[in-house]
Amino acid sequence: MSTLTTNSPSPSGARPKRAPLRRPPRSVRATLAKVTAISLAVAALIAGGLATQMAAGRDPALAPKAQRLARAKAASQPPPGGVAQAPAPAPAPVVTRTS
Amino acid sequence: MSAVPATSEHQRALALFGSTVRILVGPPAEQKTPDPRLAALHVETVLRLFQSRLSRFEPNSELSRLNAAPDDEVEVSPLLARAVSAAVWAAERSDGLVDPTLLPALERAGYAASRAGVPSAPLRDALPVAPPRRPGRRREDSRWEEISVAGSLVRRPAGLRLDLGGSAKGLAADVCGERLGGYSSFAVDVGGDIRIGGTNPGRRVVEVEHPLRASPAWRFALSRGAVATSGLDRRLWRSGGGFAHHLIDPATGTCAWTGVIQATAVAPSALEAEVLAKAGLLSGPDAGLRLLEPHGGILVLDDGSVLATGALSNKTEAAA
Repeated sequence: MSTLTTNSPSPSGARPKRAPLRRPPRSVRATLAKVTAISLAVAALIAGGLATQMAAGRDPALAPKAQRLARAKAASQPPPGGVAQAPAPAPAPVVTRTS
Repeated sequence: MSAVPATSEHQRALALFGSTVRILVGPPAEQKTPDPRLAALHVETVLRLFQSRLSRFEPNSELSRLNAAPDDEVEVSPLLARAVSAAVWAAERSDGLVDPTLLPALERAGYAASRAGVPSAPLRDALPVAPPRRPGRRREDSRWEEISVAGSLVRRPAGLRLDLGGSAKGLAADVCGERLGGYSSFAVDVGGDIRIGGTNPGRRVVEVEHPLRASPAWRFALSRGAVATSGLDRRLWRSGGGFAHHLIDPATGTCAWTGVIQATAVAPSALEAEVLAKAGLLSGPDAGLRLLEPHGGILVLDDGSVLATGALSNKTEAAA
């Protein structure tokens, strides 16, 4: 990181030359890029895991009782993209007799 | 019977075992399970195999060849081995009332050939002239206890002939039920011996036919298990000056007239239900009710009255 120096006059009265702004070395830039990328990836993983748990009713932020209720509600929802299934028809009656 | 309501089950009916067989298969429980129509065809194949191998009326059946074999030890197929084991179990379960060694007595009574398609004599005509009623008893010198099965070998006294009519239909229904466990519901009705089940079967209405009336004797609901009925009305014929039927009193070797004309039993398996139904009829009214009480059952007496016992006595679902 460059540091700007104030343009204070030198003891001789001549304005000293400002040191040119220096770009950080290439290796530092590369390291910063890697760290940023890794941080974003980890954050995405954490967020995805949380979302998955919450969808299944296991919200880690919830207390145990609230988690059970959330799971029960998730289980009662119709499948994604579908409608709730109608009850299956009753099985056919049978007749027992001698033969 | 009332009109059949809409059902999601595939239904297949056929004539086997001298009776009507009905196969009901509901939707598969999993996507990879075969189509119910294929399952019903497979079950039909199994049942036809049972008939061809175990019928004493077919001279070339495996049972007929076993009965004709002179040796006391005979190698048989797994199916016949299982059927003979089931027959021995039936005798043990019924304390000798359902005896697989009564073939000579059956033939003397007039049941030497199949009666499929032969109209039965009217039960109402037979009852007034039937002998005095008495409960059946086991035959003390019966040789069913000398029958054993070890792997594919059947051991029995040489010349002892077997009749598997007291257990084979129930066993067949159970074997078919084993193949339908991957379906939401099923029922295999082998001439009135019915095995019921499935992964989510629901309550299936079961009607008990009355032998003397058009209306059912009883009606209840069953989700899993089995029900079987034994009675006099379908295999009844004129003999001499009277009537004869296919249910033999082991102790006397003659037709049993016990005061019960039909017995229906509920049990976890169709084999056990069939055995209990026969034993319930042969035991007479009092002992029959006691025998059927644990799983539930129905007796129809000579006068047409209906007695229910166990779980069926309050017309709620039987706990098989």
